[in-house]
Amino acid sequence: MKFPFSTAIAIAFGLIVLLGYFIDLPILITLRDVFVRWAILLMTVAVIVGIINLVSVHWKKFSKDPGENPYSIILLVAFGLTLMVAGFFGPTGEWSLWIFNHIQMPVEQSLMAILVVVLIYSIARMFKDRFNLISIVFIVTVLVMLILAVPWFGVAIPGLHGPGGIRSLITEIPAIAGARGILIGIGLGTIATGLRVLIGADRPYGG
Amino acid sequence: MVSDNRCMMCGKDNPPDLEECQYCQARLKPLIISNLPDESITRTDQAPPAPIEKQKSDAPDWLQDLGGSVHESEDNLTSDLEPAFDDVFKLPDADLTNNGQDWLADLRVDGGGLPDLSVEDDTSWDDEDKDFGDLIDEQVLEDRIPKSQTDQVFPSPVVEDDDLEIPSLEIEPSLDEDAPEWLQQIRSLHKLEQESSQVDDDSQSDESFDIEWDDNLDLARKDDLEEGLDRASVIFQDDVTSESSDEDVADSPLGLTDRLDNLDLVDVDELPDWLSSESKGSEIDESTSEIELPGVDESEFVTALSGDSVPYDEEDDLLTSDADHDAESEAPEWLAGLSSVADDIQEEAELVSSSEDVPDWLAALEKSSPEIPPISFKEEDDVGDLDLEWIEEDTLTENILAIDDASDVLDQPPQIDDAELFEGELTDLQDDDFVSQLGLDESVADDSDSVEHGELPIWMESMKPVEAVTPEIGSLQTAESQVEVSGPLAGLQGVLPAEPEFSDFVKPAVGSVKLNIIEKQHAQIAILDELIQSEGISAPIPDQPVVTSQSIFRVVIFSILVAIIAWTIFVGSQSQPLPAFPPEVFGVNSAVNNIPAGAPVLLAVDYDIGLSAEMEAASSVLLDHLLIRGAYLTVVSTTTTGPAQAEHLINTVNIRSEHQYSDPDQYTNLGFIPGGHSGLFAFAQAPRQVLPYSITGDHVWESEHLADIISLEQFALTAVITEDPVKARAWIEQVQPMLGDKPLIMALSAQADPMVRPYYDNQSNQLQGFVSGVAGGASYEALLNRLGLGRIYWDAFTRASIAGVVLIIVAGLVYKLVPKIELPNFLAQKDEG
Repeated sequence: MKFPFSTAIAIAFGLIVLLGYFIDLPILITLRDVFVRWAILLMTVAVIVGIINLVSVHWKKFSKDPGENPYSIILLVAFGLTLMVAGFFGPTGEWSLWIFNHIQMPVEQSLMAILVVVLIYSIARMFKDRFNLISIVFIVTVLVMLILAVPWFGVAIPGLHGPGGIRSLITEIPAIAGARGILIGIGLGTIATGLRVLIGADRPYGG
Repeated sequence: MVSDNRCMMCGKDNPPDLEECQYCQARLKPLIISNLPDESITRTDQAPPAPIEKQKSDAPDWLQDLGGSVHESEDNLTSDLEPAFDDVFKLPDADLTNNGQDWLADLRVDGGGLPDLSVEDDTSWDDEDKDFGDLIDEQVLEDRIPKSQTDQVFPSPVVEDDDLEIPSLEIEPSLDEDAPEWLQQIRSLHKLEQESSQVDDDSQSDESFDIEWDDNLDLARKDDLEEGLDRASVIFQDDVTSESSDEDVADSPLGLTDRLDNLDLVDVDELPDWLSSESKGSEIDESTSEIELPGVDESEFVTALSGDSVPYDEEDDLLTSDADHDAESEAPEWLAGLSSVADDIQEEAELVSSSEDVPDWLAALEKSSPEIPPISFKEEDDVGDLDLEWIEEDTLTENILAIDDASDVLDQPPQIDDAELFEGELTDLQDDDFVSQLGLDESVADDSDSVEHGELPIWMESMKPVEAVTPEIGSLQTAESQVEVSGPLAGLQGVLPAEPEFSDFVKPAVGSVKLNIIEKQHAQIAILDELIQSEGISAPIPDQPVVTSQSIFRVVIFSILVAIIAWTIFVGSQSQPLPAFPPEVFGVNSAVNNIPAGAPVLLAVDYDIGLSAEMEAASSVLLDHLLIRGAYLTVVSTTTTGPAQAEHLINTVNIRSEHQYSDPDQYTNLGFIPGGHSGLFAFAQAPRQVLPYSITGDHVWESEHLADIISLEQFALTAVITEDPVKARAWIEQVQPMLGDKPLIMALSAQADPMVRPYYDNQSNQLQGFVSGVAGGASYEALLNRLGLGRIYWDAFTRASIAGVVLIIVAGLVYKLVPKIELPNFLAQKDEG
């Protein structure tokens, strides 16, 4: 039987880091910090690897059929230009910020603005295509939150708007309750995932 | 001394309990598949061996030798043959004992145990049995029971093949199959009774089983039967006496006693007491012993001689009763046919008996008995050896047939009065082929010619498929009988063929594949075939129209929103009242106000570019407040675009609030923190090690503002600007514990508000305050009395929200109330959802 080296290494490093949080031993703390920094470096390298993979994929697509993949060449050109500008002027250089302020930010904000139109249109279509109980609850909730989010025509109605209004009650009671439940679930899931990795039941690293 | 268990291969003696020779490993007792269902019962019901041995010891040597021969032969015979031959030879023995009376008495005993006389037909049987004696009349027997009827019960016991084992195997199953329907029904009923009785008492032994059927018999019916048998025996005895020339020795219907008497093999007076006393005139059928007929069980043989009641065996009783009946009915005819043969035998016996007191042939027989094959129907040149051919071909066959005929009459149910049916069945049995199969004499066969051939009865017709559906037995026998002709295994039987037999197989006949289906099924098949064929063909995509109702609706929504927002911004309206001050905003305000002037503040810019408009409206006022407080900003980010956004945000605040914050005098940008949560935790643990340089590459930790900063708790305030609740949670969970008593505040998007608020409302006070969305920014600006992006966006945000609510309600009602919107022709080409 092949010895599971990768599993043993993962379990050993995980246990050392975990014990470093609970046991106040200098050597454990030092090992914990060293291992965490290694993880940060590896994740940084992973970002670089991801960038290289993105460029290679689009380069292959462009090389295969340039006419059918025009966006690939646009990405490659933009990547090259940004890399050169940021590399030469720095990430917060004048030209780098110009690219950011005049290209990247308007594009992404426009996409977000389109989302508003799409959401309104989708909710309206829901009356026709999927008019059931869940849809009704969703629509009513959206309308109530929008109506109570802002004073209507400059009039803030007591009991509806403001900190003690219905919107605040909805936000602070059911929404927060749901949020707390989600947070507790995330915490339990994190513990379970960590234990599975520590005992070798879950091997996201392979092997 | 003759061995009890002599090997037929090497001739050496073996212990009687062995089944295989201890010298040559040859099988002493042949393995033959029995077709009798009640074989086990039959064998267990037979007489115990101990008395027989005792009787054997009392018998003279020559008889013991004969018995040994018979015993030898019986080991080589199948158990299937035993009941048949027991019936055959039991009857003459009993007849010899009491001049035809004892064998009939024996029949009474056996008949008394006839299980076939079921209770179901008791009433009819009682009525008919009253006239049973009249039924067995000599003339009636001659007219109604020809010899060929024996074929029903015992078609080919001896004559069919030279080897007695093989025909015996074929005979036994036919005993049941050839029986009339009424007999089969009775047997089946009796079997059912036996099975039911066995279920009631599982511990019942085989002997008790015999008693059981015997007890079940109706005594009155038994008496009637015995009466009829007595009358039949008288008729037979008279008939035989008239036919036989010897008046001193009682003759049996079989005529075997007659022949034995002629042979003078045994002097009746010299018989031992056990034999003479119990079976008077017990000219034991030495011919039978000499013949070593297969299946002859010595124990039963001697038991029959002694006149003891033979344990019940269903088949035995059946055969016995059938044989008796046939013997009585056919005695005059077959005895006439046997007269010439009997004369020859008598002459031959006289020659043998006149030689010496102790016949030489007996001495020779002692010597030659070990070599005598178990079935010795072959002619022997030696005078001492009996020529038993007459038994094989003539007498024995006819005797058996006669017994069968007699038993048929005895077993005949009341339906026997139905002359037409009975004669029809008899006529069928007199078929030439069937008679020739049995090997009957010409005289016997000629008798059947006089009867017209008729159609096969139902019970005979029903027998035909039995052989047709059981070809395996025949093929098995054929395969076993094949002899290897070549190779080292030459001469052996049952050798597996070296060549694969499937090579000789022929191609199976191709059947018709045409289905018998109706027109509707044809149509369905065509539809299914069309569907399958169409699967591989891609449906043509219709041309999308340039303008659709949906696209128009989207354009309308966009136009309304853009018009409202643009008009509000263009007008610069600030008419909408600002929302009330929420407590979290007060917390942010107090936290910022509590930092000392010029204190280092950690600012995290972790929001996405797409939400920068909302985030700038919420965070610009916070940043403006910090700049007002003169805080030294140390900017970090966990997103790749964070450093650029931080620069953009600071520049925006500088422009709007007229600040002159610059790097590195008023703030420093450490850049991106890699590693996600782990990187954030590492930065909280050791900020200098994780981000030692600023984004411009300067050693900012050595500057005067950050020279004293070793850990995050040395920052006066930590402010996080994020739209993502996950990132907000990471800062709260990973960094906040490292801050000590220093406050943590946030500027959030409205969508992150519900997820972050629990950290603000909890008792641990992990979050001192936050600004949420445009409304929070506007409130904070109102609290600070500053005009910022929040206040500018607030009117547009308010009117756009109202427009959105109106559009949703109106469009929903239109879609719901108007099923289909009538569009102009140029728009009605395609209206997809």
